[in-house]
Amino acid sequence: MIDKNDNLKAAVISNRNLSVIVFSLFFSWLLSFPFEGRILYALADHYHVSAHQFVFGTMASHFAGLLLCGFFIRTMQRAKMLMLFSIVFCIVASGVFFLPPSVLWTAALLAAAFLVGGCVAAWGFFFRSCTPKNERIKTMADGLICSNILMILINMSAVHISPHVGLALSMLILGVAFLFALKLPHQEAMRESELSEAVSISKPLAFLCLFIVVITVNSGLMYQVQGPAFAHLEWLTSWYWAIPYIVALLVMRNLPRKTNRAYILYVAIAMIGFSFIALMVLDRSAASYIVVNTLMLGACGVYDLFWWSILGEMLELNKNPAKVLGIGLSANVLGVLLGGIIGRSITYVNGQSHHPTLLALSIVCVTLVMLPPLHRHLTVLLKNHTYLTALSEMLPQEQTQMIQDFTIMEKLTERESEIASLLLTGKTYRMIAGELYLSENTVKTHVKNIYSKAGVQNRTELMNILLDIKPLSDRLSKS
Amino acid sequence: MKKLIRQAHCLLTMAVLGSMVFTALIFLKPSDWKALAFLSLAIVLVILLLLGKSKQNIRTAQLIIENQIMHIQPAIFKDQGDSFEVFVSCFGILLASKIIKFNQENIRLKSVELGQDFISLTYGNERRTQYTKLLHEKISTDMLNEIARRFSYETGIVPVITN
Repeated sequence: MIDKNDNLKAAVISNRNLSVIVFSLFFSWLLSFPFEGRILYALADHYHVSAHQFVFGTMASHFAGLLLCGFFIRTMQRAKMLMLFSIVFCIVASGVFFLPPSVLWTAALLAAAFLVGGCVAAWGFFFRSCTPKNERIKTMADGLICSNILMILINMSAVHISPHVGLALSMLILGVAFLFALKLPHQEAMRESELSEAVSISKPLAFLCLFIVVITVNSGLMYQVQGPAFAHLEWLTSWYWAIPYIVALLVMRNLPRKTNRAYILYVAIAMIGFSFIALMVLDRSAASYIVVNTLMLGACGVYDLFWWSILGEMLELNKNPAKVLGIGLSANVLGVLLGGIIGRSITYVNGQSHHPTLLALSIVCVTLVMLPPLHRHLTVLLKNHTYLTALSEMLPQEQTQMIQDFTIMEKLTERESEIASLLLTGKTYRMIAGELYLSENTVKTHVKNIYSKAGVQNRTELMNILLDIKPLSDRLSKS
Repeated sequence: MKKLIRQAHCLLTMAVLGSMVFTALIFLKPSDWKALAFLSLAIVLVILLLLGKSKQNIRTAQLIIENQIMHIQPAIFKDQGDSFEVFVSCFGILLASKIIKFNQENIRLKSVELGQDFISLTYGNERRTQYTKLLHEKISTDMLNEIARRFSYETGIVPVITN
């Protein structure tokens, strides 16, 4: 007899793959066409028009679509309808580009970018429903990897065969996306616990958005400063551009759970800085492009997966995942837009001298200075938030018993159990240090030892273990 | 501790000078400036790595001093400026500028033996164990018991008191 849970699990697993496939297909169209895509630039070159007149308007429209989607799409059924309609509209809008340039091009791009923004945000419903909470980073990595591989294929056909072949291929991919999207579920699967809206996520989400905007300004700068510098190497840039990004995603996806990802983020910050230094110092040969692009896109891969996975975790904290994902991703687009505007104005003013790169580097330095405190604050906010939500639902006696059982189980010293008790009431290190007349450094070291004994990396994982601990009295009576 | 801080200051000065040389090379562009710029950048990076290590050592030393259980001050030599101080804490031992860590980074304190004029500590990880014995002036029984109590409270290890 097949267990109902096994059936549900099998359905969830296949829905997960389905949601990844649908995402990969329509996202590859987005990357290769409207969002600074190679097809758009190739078509513009083919017809001898400037692509820049389209790019910024398209990005602004995409930003609006992402931001507004969550306010209108509130159920999975509506999300599926929007996705199906958007895909069909984007196929029709892409067809307009077989005609010579006209006002139709602008109208089609703006409308398609707006709708596909809504489509991406609406996909949040399927991201949350079809993927278990601890596998969201893998789902996201799979989606981004597959979409970038497809984008490379489309770009190469647009550059090496013809822009119209690339366009046709992208439309075919959208058609396949439509067929798979028809099979997506239209109701959320049964979930273990109902979400509570009593705890607001607006502060953590606002900080996360600020974090994303600051990082992605560099991506926008990259498009406008680094991209044109190697425009003559189209035979290389058409395929190598996304390779370091894909490799970084693969590495981050397969890291063991206990790896401290915070160090990797700081390495990625350094890589962004070095990429701009390399751009300034090196020539414009293929080898130089490989160095510059590897550093920049490798860092982008690390960061993109980092904040996409945080957004994935935050989907649990709000009834409308389209709103959370849409607002978070709109911050990404805003950062790219701002970086693009700054980069464009720098190259327009100063042409080919080193000054544009130096100015870009100084902007990178500002972001490098801002990022570590932002990241620290965000991590504390998110961890405390997730943690406190769970703890607030327990009775005081339950909390005390839980802490006592944990102390005995993990063989904590008296000092460690004293600190653990305060840690589990949601106090910060500074507050614990003040209460026990210790330094913050001392508290941090004791907490590291507690985590090490429990085999966890952070307070949230500790809480997860504690919530799984059966009362000691139960275990003793059973033995 | 002062020696550690002096080391850090020297490294910081060298890093700043190296950065200034790098920036000057970028702007002035003498002959072979690219090779020199890369060299200076590499040197600055190495210094920054050493500075990071040095900062870590200072933090560990501060941790030991803040959580000291015993402070041993050996004989002070009148004709030499520096004194040689020893701090024993639940996180390690600080011998002037040399640091021995335990109860951090997977190194555990395994046993403590206390006598009126010595303290010996055994520490290590699963593969290696080390033993350190420090001699000091005689202390009272009350102080001995207090040190034992603090070790037990902070580290969970109950010291063996030897008469």
